[in-house]
Amino acid sequence: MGVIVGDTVRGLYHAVFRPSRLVAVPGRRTDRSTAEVLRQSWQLLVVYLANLVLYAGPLTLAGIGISAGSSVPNWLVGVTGEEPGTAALFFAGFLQNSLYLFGVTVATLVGVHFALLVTLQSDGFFRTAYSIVYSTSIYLAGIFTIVWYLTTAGGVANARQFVINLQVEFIYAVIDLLGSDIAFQIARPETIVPGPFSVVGEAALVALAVLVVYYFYSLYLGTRLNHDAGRFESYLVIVVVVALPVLYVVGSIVATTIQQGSMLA
Amino acid sequence: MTTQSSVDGNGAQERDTDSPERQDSSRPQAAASLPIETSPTIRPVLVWMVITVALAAAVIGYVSSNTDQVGGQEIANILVQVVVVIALLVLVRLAIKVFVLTRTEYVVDATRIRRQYSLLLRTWEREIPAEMIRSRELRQSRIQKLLGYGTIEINRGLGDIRLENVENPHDIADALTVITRSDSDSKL
Repeated sequence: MGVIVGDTVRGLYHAVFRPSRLVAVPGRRTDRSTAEVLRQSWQLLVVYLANLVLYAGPLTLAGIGISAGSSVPNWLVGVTGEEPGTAALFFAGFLQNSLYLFGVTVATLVGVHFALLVTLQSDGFFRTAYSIVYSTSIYLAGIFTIVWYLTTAGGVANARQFVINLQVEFIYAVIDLLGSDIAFQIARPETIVPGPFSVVGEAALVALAVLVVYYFYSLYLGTRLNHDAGRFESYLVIVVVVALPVLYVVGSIVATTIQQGSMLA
Repeated sequence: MTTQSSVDGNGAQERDTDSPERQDSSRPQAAASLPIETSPTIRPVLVWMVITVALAAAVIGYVSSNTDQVGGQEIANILVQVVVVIALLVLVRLAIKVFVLTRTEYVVDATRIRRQYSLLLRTWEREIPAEMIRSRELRQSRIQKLLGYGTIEINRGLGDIRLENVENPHDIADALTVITRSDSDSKL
């Protein structure tokens, strides 16, 4: 018990004050045996799954995701059935809540490693996975938790609308950039800030922004330390991660445009 | 008083004791004059603290006087608070580093390199025997270079020891070379 508490406190200290300790693979040896790599990969998987549970578990218990009375998505009906019990609802909600973080983790991992391969800086997939697992399961999970909080809590309406407006404005900026005349289902906000923020709303937004800074910094550090990359390559990795949502929106616009074109034809 | 000790695969030995004892430290002597007993300086860290405060003040000043450019008063308030939080976190981190560095001591003699620091009535000690030295890396950041300090990393990635912010780093690096050579010569 004492060891767990000690490790947790040390982990929190590193997360706040020494992100480099968190994301750097211990030791710089690259001549590890297959057994050693497998053992370390297993440990990494356990860390990731534990953090995923720590993130998605409380969200599901708080009733976010799928709760009684809500409909089960088609893709889960095969697992939970049309009229699922409480345990199945919890499991389905947990899966639903985990998927966001898992999806972004995979996308970030692929994007970052692709950037490292292109710049010939990669020292191996494991080293990338190590930093991404810690970056996403701590800082990104924190970001998602705050977004969930803003989505569900009372007294933070303006902060919630501000975050939504930022995302809508971002999508419209990409649509404008492509010169597309596609209509997005949410109207462009007239103003980004809907009104003065409450104290709690402002604190949540500050925490959100600080976590975003930490997230990008941890990705930068992971690239620098685990792959001995230069500053340019490390900045490039951040550019790739920032570009991932842009690519996602561009892909959605292209898909919608093709769909509309085929419907007109 | 308890003592824990470990030896890694590359000969680096680590000891962790409850003793707050420290030996007197002094600045390094001539290049190959052994033993060298020295403590790291905190000046580069203090310079980073000043830079952090100056940068934060500059950003806050800019944001506060250009609220329209950042999207209005509400967003400016958020940005200012973000900068304050990050600056405070950096300053706390640097203050911890100062605290540790002022309690750290490095010893280089003909048989070993030792790094030791005492914190909260406990002492951590790590040493590499001379015959186990495989590599040494001398690095100087811009600030260290300007102030005449440097960081020497011995056996990087192999259970390394970092001699951080040491004065006359080239002299210590030369001393390490002498130790390594004399050890190789004695084996021949």
